[in-house]
Amino acid sequence: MLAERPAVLDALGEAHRRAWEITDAARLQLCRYRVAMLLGATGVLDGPDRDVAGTDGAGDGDGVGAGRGTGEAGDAEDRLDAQVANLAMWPTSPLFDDTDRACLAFTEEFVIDVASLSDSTAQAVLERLGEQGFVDFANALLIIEQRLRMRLAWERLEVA
Amino acid sequence: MVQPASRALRVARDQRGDRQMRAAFGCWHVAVMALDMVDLPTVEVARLRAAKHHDCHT
Repeated sequence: MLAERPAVLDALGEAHRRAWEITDAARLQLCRYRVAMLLGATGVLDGPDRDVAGTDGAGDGDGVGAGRGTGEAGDAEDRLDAQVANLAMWPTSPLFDDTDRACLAFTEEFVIDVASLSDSTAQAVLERLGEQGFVDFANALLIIEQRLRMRLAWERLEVA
Repeated sequence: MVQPASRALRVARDQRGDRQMRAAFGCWHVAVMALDMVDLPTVEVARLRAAKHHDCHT
């Protein structure tokens, strides 16, 4: 749909690319899956937007599949797969560390009612990521949430 | 217990995050505002709704 609006497409693509570079890609991927679950958009997820090594995945129809990694990359992908499979249980599952939990709590409030996002939820992320990390994470989350909402809207409008 | 949102700044006013991300946001915003397929009242309704949603007071 944005092919006829190259300036918008380019800027959005650049912001999306940068989102994965300035955050922990595996953690952002978790948050992306959680956003999709909350929006009822798992049907538009056909794979990871990025793999945990930071290269384009097959997701959202705008990347090139990178295949599964080996060694440490493969272990990280296995861990991400396990986390995704248990994502609804993030508050109690031992698969998630405190930073994952802080970011996922932030993600949920961000998606449900961003204007009411609590100070304590924001503070938990701030304490773990630092000020710049916090701002970068919030910006990256905005990009991936927006992207999923657009895909949902386009799918319902039957726009390619 | 989760405390409600306050109006206090959560980060220093000069902490704006990654420069390239900000630049991309800026380009995107400019490009979107230049779109002309949607009538102005609808654009304004969407802008005000987004501002309220994000509590950004613009």
